[in-house]
This record gives sequence, C-alpha cells and structure tokens, in this order.
Amino acid sequence: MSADSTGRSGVASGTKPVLSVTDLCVDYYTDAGRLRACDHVSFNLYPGQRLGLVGESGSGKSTIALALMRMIKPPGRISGGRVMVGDDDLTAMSDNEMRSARMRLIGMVPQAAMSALNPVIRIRAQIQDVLQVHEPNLTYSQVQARILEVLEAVELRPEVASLYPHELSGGMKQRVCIAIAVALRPKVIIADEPTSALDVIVQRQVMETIGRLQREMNIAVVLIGHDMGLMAQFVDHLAVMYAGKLAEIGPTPTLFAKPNHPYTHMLISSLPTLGQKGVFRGIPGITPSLLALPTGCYFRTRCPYVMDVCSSEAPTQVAFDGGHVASCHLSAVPGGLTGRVEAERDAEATLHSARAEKGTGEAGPNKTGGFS
Amino acid sequence: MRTGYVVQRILLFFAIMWLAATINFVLPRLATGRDPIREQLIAQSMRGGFMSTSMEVMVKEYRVKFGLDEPLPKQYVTYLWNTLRFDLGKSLTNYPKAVMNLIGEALPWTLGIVSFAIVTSFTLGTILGALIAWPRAPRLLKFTVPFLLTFSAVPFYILGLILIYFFAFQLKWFPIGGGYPIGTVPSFTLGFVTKLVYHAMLPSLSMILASTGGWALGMRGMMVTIQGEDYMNYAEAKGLTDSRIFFGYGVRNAMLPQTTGLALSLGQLIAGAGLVEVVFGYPGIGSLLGQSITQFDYTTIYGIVFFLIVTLGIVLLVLDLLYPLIDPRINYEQA
Ligand SMILES: Nc1ncnc2c1ncn2[C@@H]1O[C@H](COP(=O)(O)OP(=O)(O)O)[C@@H](O)[C@H]1O
Ligand code: SF4
Ligand SMILES: [Mg+2]
Repeated sequence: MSADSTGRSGVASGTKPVLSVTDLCVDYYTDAGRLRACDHVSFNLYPGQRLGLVGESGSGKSTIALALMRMIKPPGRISGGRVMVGDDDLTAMSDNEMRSARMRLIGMVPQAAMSALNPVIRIRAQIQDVLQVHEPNLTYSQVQARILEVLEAVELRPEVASLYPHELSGGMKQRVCIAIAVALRPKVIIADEPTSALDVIVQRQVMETIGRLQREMNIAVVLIGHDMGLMAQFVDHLAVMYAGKLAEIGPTPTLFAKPNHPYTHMLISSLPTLGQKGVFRGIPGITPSLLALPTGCYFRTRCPYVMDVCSSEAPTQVAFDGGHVASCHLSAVPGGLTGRVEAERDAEATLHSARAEKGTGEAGPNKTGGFS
Repeated sequence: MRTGYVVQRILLFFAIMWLAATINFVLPRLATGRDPIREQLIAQSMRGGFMSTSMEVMVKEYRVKFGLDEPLPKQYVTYLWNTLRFDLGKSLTNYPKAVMNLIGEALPWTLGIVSFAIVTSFTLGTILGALIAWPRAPRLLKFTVPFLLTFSAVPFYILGLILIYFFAFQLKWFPIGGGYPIGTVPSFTLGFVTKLVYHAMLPSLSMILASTGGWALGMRGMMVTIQGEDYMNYAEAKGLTDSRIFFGYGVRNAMLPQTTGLALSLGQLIAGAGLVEVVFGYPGIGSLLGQSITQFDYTTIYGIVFFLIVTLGIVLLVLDLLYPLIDPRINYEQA
C-alpha cells in the first residue's frame, strides 16, 4: 500500500507533488548476501515543503538520497520503484538524460562538504562548470554574473570566487555547495546531513541560509539528519526510517503530538527536554543487521508493545488524517499506540501511589517500559 | 611568500651543485692506489711499442699541466672556478680535447632520444593508466594490464637486447646500432634526418616500452583511489559530463602524485637511458661514459657524472618551481 495521501496537509487539493517516490527499493549485493537498504519507500513532496528524513545511522537515509539522484554504485542497485520530479520520471530516463537532470531538476547538498569540492581548481570554475553544462547557451559574462549572484545568495563575498577550497572555512565550503545546489533553481533539493561536519554555531547559520533560499525560491527540500530535535525546528514534515523502511511520516506537529509508531514515540521521548536536562535517554536494544532481519515487523526486537502478530506479519502502511502514515500493527488495535502509552502511564501511576501508601521503595515488577 | 620560496629553492640548488663539485674534487684525490696519468702514459707508450726512459719526466710534466703539483687548497679554488665556467678539464684519453666538448658532442644524441622517450612514455602511460581505471572506458583496455606489468618489470637494457635480436638481427627492420649509417656525414638534409630518426627508433622504443607500463600502473592506482574521493561523487551529482569529470577532476588530481613520481624517478630513467645507449652503440652521453670507464678516462668520467648531477638538479628545480602551479595547496611559507 502506498502512502499517496502523505504530506497533503496544508496543500490545496489538486496540487501536484513536486517529488513523488513510489515503492523505491535499493539492494546492496555484499559478500554476506543481499541486503535491502531501502525497502518500498513511498512519499510525496509538494512545492515549498520541507521534509526531514531521520533515522539511526545505517537505516538507509543516504541510500535514499543517492537513489533519488540515481547515483547508487555497484554493488548496489535500484531494484524497484519509481521517482518522479514533476512530470519527469527519473527512473525511466537514459543515463544521459539523468545526468542532465542532476542539479537542474533535483539538486543535492553533499554530506561531506569539507571534501566535496575539487581541491585544485578555484571556486569560480567549480560553479562555472555546473552552469555551463546545464545551460550551454549562456555567454561568458552571463556565467560570471550568475556566479556572483549565487555567491551573494549564500552570503559569500565575490572574492571567494577566486579562492581555492583549502582557503575556505567549513561553513564557507558548505555555502559554496548550497550555491551550486540552487544555481539552476531545481524543483527539489536533497541535503544529506548538510551540517554534520560543522560546529554548532555555523550549523545554525547554514541551516538559516538553506531555509531562507528555500522560501525565496520555493524549492522543496528533503533534509536528512539523525538529530530529531534539531530537525523538528526546521521541517514541516518528518519521515522516520527504521532498517530501510519508512516507519512513520507526517506533519511535524502531528508526529510530535500523536505518534503512531512506537519507534517515533521512543525517539521523541528520548529527546532531552529542559525539565530533565543532560539526561539523554537512548533507545534500548541494537538495530538489527540488514542481513539478518527479524520476521514480521523489523522493530519487534526493540518494541515495548510487541504483540503476537508482530512476529508473523509485516505491518502495512496505514493512513491517518492530514497525510499521516505509519506502519505498525497497533493501528488496528482499538486505542492504538496512544491507548497503550496511556495505559502504561496509568499503571505506573497506580503503582507509584500504591508504593507511597505502603511506604516501600522497592521497584515494581512492571516498571520497565523499554525506554526508561 | 612566493619570491622567498623561489630564492630559497634556487639557493638550495647551488648548495647541491657545490657539494657535488666538492665530492667530485675530493674523490679522485682520495684514490691513492692508482695514478691515472702514469697509467695513461704507460698504456700509450706500450701502444707505441717502446718504453721511454724519461717516463718520470713526462709524468711530472703532465702533473704540472693538470695543475696537480699545486697545494690542494689552491687546486680546489681553481677547480671550483673552472667548474663555474663549465670547464671540466681535459680528457685523458682524447687529450687535449676538453671534457665539456666531448659532452657537447654526445649531448644532442642523448637529449633527442631520452627526452622523446620520457615525454612519450610519461604521457602515454598516464593517459593509458587513467583510462584503465575509468569504469566507463572501453573494457578492452583492461586487457593491457598484464602486458604493462610484464614490460614494466623488464629492465631497459634487456628489453633493448630483445628488440635488437628480433627487429634488427632477425627481421632486419631496423639497424643493429649506431646513431647514423657508417660512412655518411652528418648534415641537415632530409635524407640524413630520416636516417637519424630510423636509427633512433629502436633505442627510443625500448625505453618507451620499458617505462610506459610503470607510469600506467602508477596512474591507474592513483585514479582508482581518487574515484573514491568525495569530490568525484559530488562532480557526478553536479551532472557534469564524463569527460569533464575524467579530465578536470580525476586526471587533474591524479597528476599531482604522478608528477612527483616523475621527479623521483628521473635519475633512474637517465641511468637506464645510458645503458640503452651502450646496448645500441648510440653515440650519446651513456656511450661516452661507457667508453671512458673502459679506458680509465677519469677526467671524462667525473665530468660526465658532475654534468648529470647538474642536469638532474636543474630539472628538479624546474619541477619544484612548477609544482605549486599545479597544486595550489602547496604552502610557500612552509616549503
Ligand atoms: N556500498 C555499499 N555496499 C554495501 N552495503 C552498503 C553500501 N552502502 C550502504 N550500505 C548499507 O546500506 C545501509 C544503509 O546505509 P546508509 O544509506 O548509508 O545509511 P544512513 O545514511 O542512514 O546512515 C547500511 O546498513 C549499509 O551497511
Ligand atoms: S508492528 Fe508490532 S513490533 Fe512493530 S512497531 Fe508495531 S507494535 Fe511494535
Ligand atoms: Mg548517511
């Protein structure tokens, strides 16, 4: 079942998605066997939206980014699904058509900004070649004007054009990459952990620049990251990945207020809040290897609400109001995840008051919730 | 700053030249066991068929002529001054011919085939190696690797001998040796130049065959490494054409270690070229050195060695000065 209604909240009906991903699958053929790093991923992105893609390291975020650019290298392969940008089907394009689509239809801000620029040629030449290859009709002076224009757009001085990458700070390099990504005004930009190599202050500034350009140019952005808290402040939609699958996707406020997948719920409650600062509550258990996934639901080895059906059947995607989709068997249970969470909270409260009455400090048998 | 670096590098060059000259001066004077002058005179008089009774007088006279009777410090100063004027003394065997003249006569031959061979094999090997490593290049190229490996493992002179045997001795496609046909007089006519090229073919070929493989394998390794670099993936994400990525990103970056490799192996290449000349009887510096060694022509031997050091020093100096132009990351202050 595809998540067709995904992300439609706040979008006038009839608006076509700018990026439409349907049942995208990517396999890697390793010595130890085939692994599916992206498993039937489906989502829609509408003009001007910001979608955050979060998940633990190894959950397949970069794989999706590369698959959208059709840059999966052997031993990997896109083994199924479709990627549409507007009316263009990227998965059906010839290699040369796809080459010409990169940065023009679908831009990318690389994860490794520190080493993504060619160390031996000047910044000017690195912006120039992308302009010239996609817009061969530009005159020399038009190209030069465009270079200065995009540098200004990312708040870099014109002199930066004459510098080499090693003469730039990390933040400046990332800005150059952003300038290249917006230079051809693509409809979609994918940014794979664009600030992971930068320090916190620079991170903020770079994110603000991405946000401003996104608004000004009405580009849709897929922002990949592993920090859910940081992401929540920046994106209007969130997609949570687990072991190559989309666990849940929906508008950020909805996801925070009423998550429908235990993994999302645990990620949110593990975020440090002002009340209990410094106490980082991780998620217990380890991510299963993509080569040895459990039957049924991939999350069942770590899920506190696991049921019998979870080990026999893989959950399908269930759509909720406002473009909210989750894949969890709890959706079919009355009360859903919320009901289970509340029941647990009530039980704990009862236990606490009972203990207070008795005056004993002993821990109750039911106290472990899996994310304490 | 730039000028500071250049001046520093040039000073270093002169320091090395001074050191080489000094070693060249000291070494023969340490060899007390043999007296080259006496040996030469004995050899010559034996050829003449009689033993001169005034041998000692002649030895003495020659010692004066070569300035060997002077005190050592004075000899040293004279020697340095002469070296500075490119005066490397006179040949013992071809007395009174100046060593510098002998070198001058042999140099064009060597310069011709060696520079041609180095430039050709370096260019060819670099392009070939880059293409072999390129996933989207013709598959066929990958089959050249075993041949390249084989050729790069065979020394220049052995390859030369093999080529002589097959192409000159058996097939008679090329002359067995020499720089031009015996009996012709060097001139700038088309006919003579054709013969020159014809004679230069096999020696050049043996050098090119022997070293192209090495350059190709080195470049292939570099290109494979560079293809894993983030900027190569990003270049692809930019939607650049294959040729732009190949030349502007791949080859451009792999050229840096490749050029360093050239600088490092230059001495070896020149030594190999010398052996090839001896094998082919080619009238260049290598053959001159070979002759001088068999004839105990000490002044010429030392002259050639010193000349080679200077040449190598100059080439390395030029490469060093050019290197910052191809790698902008070279820091002048630290260099
Ligand atoms: N080149 C590759 N060869 C084999 N497996 C790979 C390769 N690239 C990624 N993978 C596997 O795919 C999974 C997802 O990786 P990735 O997309 O990089 O995750 P993320 O970006 O979320 O950290 C990982 O389990 C990893 O082992
Ligand atoms: S399907 Fe079952 S195991 Fe998987 S997340 Fe839902 S409740 Fe947990
Ligand atoms: Mg990643």
